[in-house]
Amino acid sequence: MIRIGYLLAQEVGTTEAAEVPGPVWGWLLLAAAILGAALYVWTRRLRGSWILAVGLGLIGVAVLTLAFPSARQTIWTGTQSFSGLLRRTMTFALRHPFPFPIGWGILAGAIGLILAMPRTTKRRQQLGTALSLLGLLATLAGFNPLGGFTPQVVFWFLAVLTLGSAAAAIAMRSPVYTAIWFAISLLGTAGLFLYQGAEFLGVATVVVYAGAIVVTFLFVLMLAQPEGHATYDRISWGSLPKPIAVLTGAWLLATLTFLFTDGAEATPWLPAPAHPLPVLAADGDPEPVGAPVGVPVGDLHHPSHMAHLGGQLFGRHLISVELAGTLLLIALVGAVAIVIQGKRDLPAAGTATEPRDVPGTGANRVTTSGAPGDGTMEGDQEEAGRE
Amino acid sequence: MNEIALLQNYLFIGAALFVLGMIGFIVRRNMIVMFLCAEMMLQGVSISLVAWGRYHQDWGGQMLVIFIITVAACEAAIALALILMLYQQNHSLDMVVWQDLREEGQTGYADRAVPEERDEDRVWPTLTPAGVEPEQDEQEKLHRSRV
Repeated sequence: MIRIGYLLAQEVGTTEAAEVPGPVWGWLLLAAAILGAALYVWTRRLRGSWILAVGLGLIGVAVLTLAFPSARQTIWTGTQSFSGLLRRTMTFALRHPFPFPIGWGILAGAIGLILAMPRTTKRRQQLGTALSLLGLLATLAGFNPLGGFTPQVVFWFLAVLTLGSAAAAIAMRSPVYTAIWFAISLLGTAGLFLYQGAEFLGVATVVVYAGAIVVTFLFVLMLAQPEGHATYDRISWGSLPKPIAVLTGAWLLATLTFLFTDGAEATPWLPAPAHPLPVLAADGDPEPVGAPVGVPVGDLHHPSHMAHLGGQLFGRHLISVELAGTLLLIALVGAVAIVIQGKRDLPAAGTATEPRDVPGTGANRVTTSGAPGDGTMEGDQEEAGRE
Repeated sequence: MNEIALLQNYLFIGAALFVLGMIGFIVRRNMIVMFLCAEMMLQGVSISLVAWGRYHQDWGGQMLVIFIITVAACEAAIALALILMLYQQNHSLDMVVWQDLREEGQTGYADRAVPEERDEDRVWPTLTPAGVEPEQDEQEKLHRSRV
């Protein structure tokens, strides 16, 4: 016990709560709004109500503690000492450095995900969702803390948003819901990019990925979706592959995680990073015109921070940019060619046994393939209309 | 310590997104959902790349993510065209209808009894019924009390 207390005292006071921008009443207003939304969801019994209400309540409490420095400090040191205490207790208890809470968190998340997969009852799905969220939070709490209270809370929010909506995306029974949850996960990913200082990537993810690619997915779903919940969305390869796949995935995740956290101590084995200022002319590459020299990736307050990204893109990786443009053109032409070829190969009603690429000569081919170009399109238009 | 902690957290999130995408790709049967899970795997890799770029102060991480986004857009276009054509062959987005492409010597997959969808699971969007005229006061129509 004395040893635990000594280790506790060592952990407390290592981090300070950072300064929170804005007036106190602004944060109180935001916290009141979030708690009010939680209360509304709880009382109205909206869809998925209790998880949403609990989540919003926790967020509201976290925002509330942001407003008061003393509360911030207390909660911060409390969580740090609690997780440290748990870690030390598990290590002492098992006489073996089982990585708590990372290992238990991953296991809880895996079990929750198995429960939440398709072909379950609604109660089991909700329980699985809650369990996997708890597992995720426990795993995140097991890593080394980022500097300060506000960065940590923001990072946890973004992480839970990204991974929670990704897990929801693969567990949904309707593919439209999957696409929407994936778009929400992309928003979380964009937030994570912004957190790292990759502003262009954050915006590009929202605009290109969530704004164009997911919308294209939804268009194709509109064209090809069966009515209601299809059977193959509900059962999904039977009941045995789901636990096996989830446990294999959890094992892979645990291996990847323990590789860079080194067990219970969460100390890194990583090599020291390279020197912070990569000089452009060091390896003989021509310096791009107009690009600022030597702006490091992590220096977010530099006014030409993103300009350096553009300089690198069009200076050092210029050929890759040209190739990417060519690839886009090839993909566009290829997609159109696939659709045209596919429509030409479709068996039309009444002429299924006849070859399609013979130019129209017979009298019985007037309606479907009079001319190879117009006739096929018309025939397929009629078919599409009848479908 | 702060940079290392940032890297650790981000690598975990990247690995978790990748693993979730992999699980979804293996478990699901809808062709479009399988492709969405492949895109999720690409997002996980993107997060890891950005984290490593920040850690080593190298812009190459963000460069590669830009190209990943570009290539993902290309492959989404072509894959969705292919999926549309496959759908029009068999009128199903199921992967099982194409299981004749499997290797020789492997048994095919056959669905066992599929349970009926319960009423509590069927959720449809509700719209207010259109074309229902509200009841109107005859006196109000003849002598308007307000404009």
